[in-house]
Amino acid sequence: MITNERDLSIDFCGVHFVNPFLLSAAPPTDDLDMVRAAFEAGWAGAVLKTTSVETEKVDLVYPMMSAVHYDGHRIMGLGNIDLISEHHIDVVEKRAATLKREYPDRVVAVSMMGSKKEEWQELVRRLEAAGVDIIECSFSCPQGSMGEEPGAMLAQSLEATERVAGWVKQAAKRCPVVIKITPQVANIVKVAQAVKRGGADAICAANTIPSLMGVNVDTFVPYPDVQGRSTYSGMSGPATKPITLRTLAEISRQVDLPITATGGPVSWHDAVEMMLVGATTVQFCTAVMHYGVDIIDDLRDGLAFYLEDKGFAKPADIIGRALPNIVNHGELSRDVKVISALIEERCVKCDLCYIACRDGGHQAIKLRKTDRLPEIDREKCPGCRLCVTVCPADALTMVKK
Amino acid sequence: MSEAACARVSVLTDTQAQLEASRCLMCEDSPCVAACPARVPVKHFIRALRFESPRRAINLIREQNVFAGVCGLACPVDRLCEGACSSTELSMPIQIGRLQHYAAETALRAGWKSRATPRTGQKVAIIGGGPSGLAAAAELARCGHRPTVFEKSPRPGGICTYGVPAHRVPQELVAGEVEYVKSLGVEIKPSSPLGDGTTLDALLAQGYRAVYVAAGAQQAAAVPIPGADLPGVTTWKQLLNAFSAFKLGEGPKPDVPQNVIIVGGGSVAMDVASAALQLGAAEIDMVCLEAPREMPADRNELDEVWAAGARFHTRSTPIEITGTGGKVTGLKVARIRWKEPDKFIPSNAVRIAGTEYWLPGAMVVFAIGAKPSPELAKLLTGVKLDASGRIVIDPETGATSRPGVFAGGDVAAGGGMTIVRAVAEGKRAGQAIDAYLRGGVS
Ligand SMILES: Cc1cc2nc3c(=O)[nH]c(=O)nc-3n(C[C@H](O)[C@H](O)[C@H](O)COP(=O)(O)OP(=O)(O)OC[C@H]3O[C@@H](n4cnc5c(N)ncnc54)[C@H](O)[C@@H]3O)c2cc1C
Ligand SMILES: Cc1cc2nc3c(=O)[nH]c(=O)nc-3n(C[C@H](O)[C@H](O)[C@H](O)COP(=O)(O)O)c2cc1C
Ligand code: SF4
Repeated sequence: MITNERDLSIDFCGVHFVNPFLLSAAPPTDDLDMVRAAFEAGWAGAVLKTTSVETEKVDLVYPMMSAVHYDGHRIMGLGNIDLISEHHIDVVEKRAATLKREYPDRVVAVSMMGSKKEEWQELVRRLEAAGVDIIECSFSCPQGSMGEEPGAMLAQSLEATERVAGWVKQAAKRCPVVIKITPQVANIVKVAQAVKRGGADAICAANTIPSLMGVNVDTFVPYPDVQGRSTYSGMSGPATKPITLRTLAEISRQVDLPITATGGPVSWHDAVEMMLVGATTVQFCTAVMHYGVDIIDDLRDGLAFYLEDKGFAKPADIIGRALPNIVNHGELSRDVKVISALIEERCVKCDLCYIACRDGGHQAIKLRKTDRLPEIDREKCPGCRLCVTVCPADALTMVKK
Repeated sequence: MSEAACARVSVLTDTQAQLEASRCLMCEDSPCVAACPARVPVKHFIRALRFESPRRAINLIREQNVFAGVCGLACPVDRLCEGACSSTELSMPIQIGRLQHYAAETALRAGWKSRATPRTGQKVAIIGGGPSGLAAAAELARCGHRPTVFEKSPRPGGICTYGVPAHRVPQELVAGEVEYVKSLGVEIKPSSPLGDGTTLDALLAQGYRAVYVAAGAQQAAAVPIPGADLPGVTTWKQLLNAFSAFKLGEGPKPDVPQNVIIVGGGSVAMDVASAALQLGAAEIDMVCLEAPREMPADRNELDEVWAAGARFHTRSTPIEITGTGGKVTGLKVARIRWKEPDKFIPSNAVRIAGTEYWLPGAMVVFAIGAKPSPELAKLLTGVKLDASGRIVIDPETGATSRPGVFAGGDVAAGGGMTIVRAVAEGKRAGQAIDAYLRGGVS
């Protein structure tokens, strides 16, 4: 149930979304009924999990998931060794057509991946014929390296990115083409520029982060353990959000292409942050896999109240608002000195700020003998802000010196 | 002594609320929801708090329970939502009540308004502005009807306003939640009792198309023992009403002697004890039939009263109030045993001969329940009451024997229910009245 009925619609590459939230290409979109349930719940769109031509072999391995937990909280990062969908274009084109017929006001996008020019173009033609709204191309699957280095992702080669984007664009007569890239590159801006040169309409930034999720110290087998062996995972989930924000900001500041964000969002707040640094729509995967499709209610209400409180008329009005405030390090102000200050009534006297400042800062915090309250030495504190980040009680703040 | 007996519950800070919300497992079948009489969507409101939308959280709660903050503080949560919490087996239950209270206080502080539904539909009269009446009125307003609440007292809120002591539920919170109900499009007429010239028939003749009777249980019970008519003998109702009125600036400070004897083993008796302590009593004696483990009182409240120094005379019954010169001097009590096990009701108690003893005290307060006012019978023609004066209702809809007349809360249960159940019955009756007015079945 939502409690704020405000219009949240937004356009992306000329396609109308009833709200900026959609499901990314992943298990939640790899089944017709699951997508139906998501549309019923209120999601504006779904990118059906990456499909391929019928001859592509998809050889899955189980178990495929593992996670990094933090401090008693489950899934800071989710690792998967999944591959693209086992369902080939013959199945997916029918699903897309069915969904489009049943939910004409929702956006049906399909993620696809080929291994040669003919495949990429055949997939485009068949998806357009099926009536999809958007074509998303996975340039970040470990599969489909297109004869570059084995295991390398397409988007890791600027040349291949531009060339394949061009093929897809050439075949696409009606649908906007979105290229889904990987954050695992030396210069994300160059990749985005290659996408643009290839003629694609938008970017999906970015996919999971190649990771080793952990190692079992008793068996010496990393996670996930597949009969005593393991391999690198793609990591998604909340831990990746800051990386996504950086990726989004860099691209939007330098390349003029609309962006659909993916990587780490859980709440409306995360989604708004992504929009503030340039995303038009925001894709969700891990959060839905963890908490269920009905988190769309939280997202819609949260965004609606945010817009209402801030006096924005529509979601599009917030896109890129934070970008002017991002500058290079050299351009940051050195003129105003700040120091840490204690809000006494909130302090629970855990001494964490004291420890942090002593061993990671500038020994600027003393504990008052009488009542153990932290005291900040105005002269010693250069204002690094470590203490504020460790305080569990929001009892420290930065003030002008 | 009085300070210890009235520790106020504070509002969680944002950080505390975040930490607590992040402990919630958000389990699929949410046993907490099933355990809440008002079916507050606990998982979803906690998730909204956790994912930083307190406004969504309070909307979700209020949709089911307009007395969100009051219930967050006053519900016996260990027997309701928190008692069912899946986290209990990991560490301890999520503090659902505190989180609900936090959401309500956050909303009141921020002044978030609800969208009032235009008052276009049918006129409905609500008798009694307690939790049940207000919940019914809120539901009717949301359905687009025009509810008017007729309240006997100068302020609405029922027992939450004139009963539950302010240290447990602050008056500002009750008032804030009443304002919220008004903002939905509910008209409240204070100091406008049914009686005083108006009757049910008169209201129906004035164009009210349906009536919800939620007049509570106004007649406090006393044990008919010798001396019960002495001037120093009173009931929870008189004492707590006067205490609340005093706190609200509506009346003088009630006089309470040094020694007060309270009869009863429930939460109401504990409220009387803490009120008496706050009013200056120094010696409190509590008399009840039950052994400590059998007492229905909330454990925390019992602990506070005990810790404040009250003496407990358990498995005991009052037999005579003594007095001289028209003044109470004390209470004679005797020990009891139960005839049958696990049946903690007065008719199952047997006095143990030779165990009588006397407690000195200048005031005896009965806190042993209540029933609806006997006046109601005259005012509610055509409405069937049971032998104890309770309105007989259809448990599904709140419908009474008279078409178009519904009832719920303490007036039907005869006291002993909870605020949240009174709210739930009000909401349910509001829906049934809506169906009735739309020509459906009542
Ligand atoms: C001292 C005390 C403490 C309690 N503490 C708790 C607690 O902590 N938690 C909990 O869950 N429950 C508690 N309860 C129980 C709870 O307060 C009641 O079950 C609940 O208030 C019942 O709601 P109601 O709306 O049916 O009746 P009430 O709250 O009694 O409201 C009835 C209203 O009707 C009005 N009225 C009566 N006659 C007329 C008339 N003729 N015309 C117009 N208006 C009329 C009254 O003035 C009153 O405002 C407590 C009860 C008592 C007595
Ligand atoms: C199990 C799993 C399978 C995935 N499969 C695909 C895929 O087939 N194609 C694709 O483009 N992305 C795939 N992804 C990546 C997601 O679409 C998404 O971009 C990524 O998980 C980051 O977003 P999140 O943090 O919201 O999960 C997959 C992710 C997971 C967890
Ligand atoms: S999530 Fe479902 S499918 Fe996956 S291992 Fe568990 S039970 Fe099996």
